[in-house]
Amino acid sequence: MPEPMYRLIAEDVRQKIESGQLAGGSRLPTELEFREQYDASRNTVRDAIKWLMTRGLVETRPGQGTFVVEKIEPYITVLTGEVYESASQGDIYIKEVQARCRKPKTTAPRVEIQQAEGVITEELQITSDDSVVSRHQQRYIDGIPFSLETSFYPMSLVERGAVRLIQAPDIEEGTVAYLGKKLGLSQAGYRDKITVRVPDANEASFFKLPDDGRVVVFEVRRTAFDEQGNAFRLTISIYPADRNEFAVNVGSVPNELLPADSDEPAPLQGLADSTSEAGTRSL
Amino acid sequence: MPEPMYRLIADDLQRKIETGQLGPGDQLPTEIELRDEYQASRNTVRDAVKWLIGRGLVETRPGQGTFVVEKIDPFVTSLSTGVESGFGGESAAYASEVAARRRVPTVTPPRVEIQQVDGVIASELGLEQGSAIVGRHQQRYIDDTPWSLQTSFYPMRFVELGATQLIQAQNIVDVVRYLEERLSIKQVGWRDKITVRPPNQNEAAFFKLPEDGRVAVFEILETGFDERGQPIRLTVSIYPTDRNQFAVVVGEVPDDGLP
Repeated sequence: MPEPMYRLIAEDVRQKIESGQLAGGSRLPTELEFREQYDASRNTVRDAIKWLMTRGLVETRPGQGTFVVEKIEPYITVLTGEVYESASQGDIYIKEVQARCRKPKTTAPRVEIQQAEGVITEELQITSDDSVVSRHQQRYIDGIPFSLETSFYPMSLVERGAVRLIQAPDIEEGTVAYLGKKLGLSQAGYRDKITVRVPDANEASFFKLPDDGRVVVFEVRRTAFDEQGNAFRLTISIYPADRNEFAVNVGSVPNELLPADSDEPAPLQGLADSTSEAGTRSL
Repeated sequence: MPEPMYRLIADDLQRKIETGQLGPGDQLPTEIELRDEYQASRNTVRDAVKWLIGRGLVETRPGQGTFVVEKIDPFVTSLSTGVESGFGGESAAYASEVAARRRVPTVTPPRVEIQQVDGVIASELGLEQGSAIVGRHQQRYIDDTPWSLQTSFYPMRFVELGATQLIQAQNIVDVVRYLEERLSIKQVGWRDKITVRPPNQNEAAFFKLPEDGRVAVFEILETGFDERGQPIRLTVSIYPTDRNQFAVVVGEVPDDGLP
């Protein structure tokens, strides 16, 4: 099947973007210039640009023209940490980001008490009559919004004495360490569930994502269990897929600390192309 | 900030879809019907429908109308199972994991390619650009729906050392065990790197995804390591995000996670 003309143009422009010939933030040639350059009709050129837009490669700024999207340097979050740590606590997060020579910032927690519902009741094994404490934080790296995190705790933990859960200041030693000291609660393990979905309006505006839902978000739900197998915390984190990656380590793996990939070019697209090209051919 | 009219309409329709009032596969009211119902202009109704399309909730079938998208029952893949398995197995582990959840798995026989390595494959496998590798590619289905594309890469050196099954186009039930038996190369761990991106044209065609790139795919790079910390394989897997979820377990958790 021959490629339609607009795809050939789009592929050519994409290649120029990926090779850096057209840098992030630079302006694309005008429609007229494109028409001359490729000897193509107005509709063909428009289709090509539309195709590049849905792939998040270019964006139109009203009254200014079409520009190459500036890529955000991705951050890799390791999902498999130490069992006894609460991988997502403020302090540990800050140290981890700093270790990779990047600047972290988290907002002070916003604390709310609410009735449990939906997924919270399921994961924390409580009923909708029970109350939960939620602690919500926004996280930035190098000044760019990177993730939104909300942890839910059964209100019973507060009633048993863990009163700092309902206070706004950050629990600096980490909530897991605090719950251990205060209640003798010990984290025996956690489970992450990873899905991808379209951002809602709040997420889109916080992360400054395009309103058409073209940049999706990871939703990672982490449920932590104590030694009796009771769930005592649910953390729901939202990460835009255009700037976040994840790593999972199982067994014994060399400690390649992850910042090294800065000198790694990114021929992922090419790799995937050949992979699945192969796939469809053998159908 | 008040919501624009098209968003109010879109939100209302979204709610009807989520509550099941408009079921999967149902046809949406026509543009004229929507204009009547919401007392809205043609452009407003169109923007509302466009918003729903952008969110993958409805789809337009040329000449037929707009329909509620039929959701695919998602499958949860566990990324942190025993060290001995991983994705290295070409049929056994996958088939038993899927079957255990009462769903029907199918895996195509591998298509084997020998190629020169470059880019990410070279850096993950710790090989020089241009050295030879074996790629073994498979398509995986669940309940006859295309579910994932998987390619495992091994250094050609393994074949030269005697692991000749790697270049045969038959399933190797458990590659990790085969390498251990044949070459005494033992996998002691692996690392997954998870990213999400729009599908390319071939992926979109295989998974029957909309051509506009709106359904993204997971790309998972899994590198297996031997006892000396040397990479022994790289498995690249592509999973559409509309039908795939992942789980990671660390430490002790009760066994209710996966059905």
